[in-house]
Order: sequence, then structure tokens, then C-alpha cells
Amino acid sequence: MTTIAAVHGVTFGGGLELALACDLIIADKMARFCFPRIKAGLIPGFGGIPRLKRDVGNAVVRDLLLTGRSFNANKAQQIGLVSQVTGEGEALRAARATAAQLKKFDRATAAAAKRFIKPIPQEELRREIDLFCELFASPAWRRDCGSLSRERMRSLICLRSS
Amino acid sequence: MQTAEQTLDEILNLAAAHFNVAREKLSPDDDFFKTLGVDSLQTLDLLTKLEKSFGVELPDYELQGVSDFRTLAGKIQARL
Repeated sequence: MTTIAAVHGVTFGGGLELALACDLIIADKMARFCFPRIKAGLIPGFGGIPRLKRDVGNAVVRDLLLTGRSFNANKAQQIGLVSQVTGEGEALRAARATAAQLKKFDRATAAAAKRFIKPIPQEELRREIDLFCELFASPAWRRDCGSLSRERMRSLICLRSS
Repeated sequence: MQTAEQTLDEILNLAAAHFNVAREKLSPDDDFFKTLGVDSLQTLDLLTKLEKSFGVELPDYELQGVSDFRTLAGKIQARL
């Protein structure tokens, strides 16, 4: 199955991670993307970093993760994160048109093509979640957001292969 | 390259159009959060429009503490 993220508006943190987990991202021109977690003393913990590294150049990855800044849909397309940018409010329509196109083709052939898409290193996914849990259990984060233990956090995060 | 005044004027026009207020109600030293009654999410939309209109990229950390149009224009002008 090929998945498509139709994105509009503010797509920050978990929203961006969800979009990155899809095969295609189609964004409306007013969409804005960001990994702001560094501002809260965290990193993305749901596959965001490995997938970002898969899709964009390392200089951009460092910039986005270390500054926590947001960027617009055109920038997202320039850096290779987004495959299509549409007019405002048009992302879902474009995604449906793309899905209709995908439906025309043999599923096994599409699956074969997808096998060539750069896989996510499973060890990186595990390492990201470990680091996220460590940071989540840190005194600075706990001070702000309660006292979820590392074990409880791990149980809340369901790690699946991409 | 356009002047700072031209940039400021363009920003005021864009903000008026984007938030659907009369251009005459906006002045360069207005606090746009108060004058326009917008929140930070709404200003992100304006940021996207400004980036597109001026063909620049504005890291949002450069805009921390910026709340008036004149200062915003200076930030954009510096990237033209």
C-alpha cells in the first residue's frame, strides 16, 4: 500500500513525523513544517530523525533539528521533503488525484518499486526512541511536564518498522 | 533592490489583505499582535506569505520579540 500525507497548516512535531512516515507528502502552499522539540529539551521520538535523514541533506537536518525553526512548503519541496505543493486548501484534492493514479497500477509492481526506497535503519529508530526516553525522564522535562517514568514512556511508544 | 520604506509598505499591504483589515488602520510601529488581534499561529501564516512575496527565508528565531511592522521590515530587508 502506498500512503500519502495531504498536509495543510502547521505541521509541527508529531504531525511532521506522521507525514514523514508516509510514502508521499503533498502540501498546500500555506503548510509550515517544524521539529520544535529541542525547545522543550527533547528530540523527535517517533522516527522523525531517521526519516528526515533519509529524505533531506545532512546540513538541513542539522539546521532543522538544532534550531527548531519552521519552514514553508516551498522550502520543504526544495529540500526534497515534499513532492508536490498545491494551492491553498488543495492538498487533499491533489492527494486523492494522486491516489487515483496509484490505483491504476499493479500492487506487486508498486511494492517492488518501494523496496528500492531507502530503508530506515532499524537501529536508528531504536536509538532515537532510547534517546527520547532518556530526555523525557530528565529533570528538566519532568519539572515542566509531570513525572512519566522512562519505562512508562517506552510503553506508550509503539515502534514499528517503516 | 527596493528600499526599506518600500518593504515596509509592502508588508503593511500584505498584512492588511491577509487579515482583512483596512490598510489605514495599520501603522509601522503598531504592535501587530494587539492591533490585529492575532496569535502566534496566525502570524505563521503571515510569515509564509511574506517569505513567498519577498522571495526570502526568515528563520522564526530571528523574529522572536518582533512585534511591530517596522522591525519586521528591517529583518526582511536584511535578507533581500
